[in-house]
Amino acid sequence: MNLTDLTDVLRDHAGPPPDAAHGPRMSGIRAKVRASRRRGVIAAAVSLVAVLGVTFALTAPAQRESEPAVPTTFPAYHAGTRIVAQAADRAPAHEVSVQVVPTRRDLRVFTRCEAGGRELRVRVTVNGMYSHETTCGHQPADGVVSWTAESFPVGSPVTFGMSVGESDVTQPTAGPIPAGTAFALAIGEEVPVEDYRFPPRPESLSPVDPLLSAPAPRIDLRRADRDQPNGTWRTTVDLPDRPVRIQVASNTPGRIQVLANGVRVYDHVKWTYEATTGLSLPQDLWEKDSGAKAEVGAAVEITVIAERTSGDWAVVLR
Amino acid sequence: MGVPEGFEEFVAGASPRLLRTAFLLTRDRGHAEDLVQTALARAWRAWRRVQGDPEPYVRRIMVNTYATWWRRKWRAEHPTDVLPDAGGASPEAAVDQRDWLWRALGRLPRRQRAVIVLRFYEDLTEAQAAHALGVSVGTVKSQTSKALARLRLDDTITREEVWR
Repeated sequence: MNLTDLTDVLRDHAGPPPDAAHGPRMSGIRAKVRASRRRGVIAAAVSLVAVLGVTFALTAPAQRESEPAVPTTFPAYHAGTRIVAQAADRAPAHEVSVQVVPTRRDLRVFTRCEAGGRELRVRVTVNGMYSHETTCGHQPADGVVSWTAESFPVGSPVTFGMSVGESDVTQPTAGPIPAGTAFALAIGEEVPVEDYRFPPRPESLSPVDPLLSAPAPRIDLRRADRDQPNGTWRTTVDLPDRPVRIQVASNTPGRIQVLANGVRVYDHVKWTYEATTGLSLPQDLWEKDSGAKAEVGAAVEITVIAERTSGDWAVVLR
Repeated sequence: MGVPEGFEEFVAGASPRLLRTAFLLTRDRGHAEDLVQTALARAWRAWRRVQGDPEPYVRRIMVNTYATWWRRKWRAEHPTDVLPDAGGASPEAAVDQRDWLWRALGRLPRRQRAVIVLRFYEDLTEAQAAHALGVSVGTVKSQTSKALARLRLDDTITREEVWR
């Protein structure tokens, strides 16, 4: 291999310009901006609750002394993990750190900041050494990083650090932290679905149907029964004469596995009560991932295994 | 919801270029489109603060998005330390060199692949790639070195299996 080959291969595969579907692209961008703003509103509400909590704690010191510390930024269970350590601060401070003694290597690092919707730059260190940079401020839970085996030894103390500053693309490092910024760092251990503590169920849930209004034809398997959170459903369907994508949508936490002819091809796990869809997985990828093989036009047995779901879900082949 | 001034024109003009880079990162047209839209949506919110050419800014968002928090979201690829069996092909069936190189690129961890795309497709300098990824120049050097070593290792294994 030489470097000319490498450049040529990249240029070959970048190929001609894809169809510039400007209208749909702008629609997609608008939808993402709207979703981001909705999350921002939720984050602001959470922040307000946190501030009220802190205020209450500060004004009731006698009571506080007799109570355990309550996380004010990240809940005890967050994004599929149990939070084992967290720290938070606000400007003019610009960094926090936490120390944990890992008992396993699948830790996840969460960084978060609230800066009036501004995007800030975050630098994360492990034992004082640079680990990675990310951004925060535009989503409630930015900067999720899954750790890997070589990052640290199990059983020894590890210090995670986070520093925050303005994100200026013209500068190699973050700028000063804007006034009023609050930020937090948390370390979580992954928790299986069966052991995870879901958030309180809201009184009403958003429907999943609008998420799946893409053009037909499609094959739907769906149910809506909060009294039967676990179960297995099987059906045999005739695939169309083309590869099919698989997608799962749901509006409650829980796990939904999809099997094709007995082989798991899709594993959908979520932790919130938002109505969301998982990745629309093309057939070549779900076959490659799983080893399953489903011929176009042939009959295939689809099995859906649901765990701890309590709302609507749908499995769509299209 | 008002579109920031100049944003839509930028999307129309820059999207093909951004999509090419996104495709090299994701190797999937659908994922590439999603990645570009995600980066543009984030740029939308900061649009008024972007000075000069916004494309490097959007590209930086895109590459960092790809290299960091999409890890959990995507199921489409699983970088591994163990090189997959290249298949016991005969010499006659030896794949085209560029084809295996493309496949080997797909087996790189995401950050290494991002560095390779920035350095060898975007033709950025080490300093520019470091800026785009938000890492040090030393990290770009080490990631590039690791990626190239890995590609060469892949090259060796593939060729040994094919031609021995």
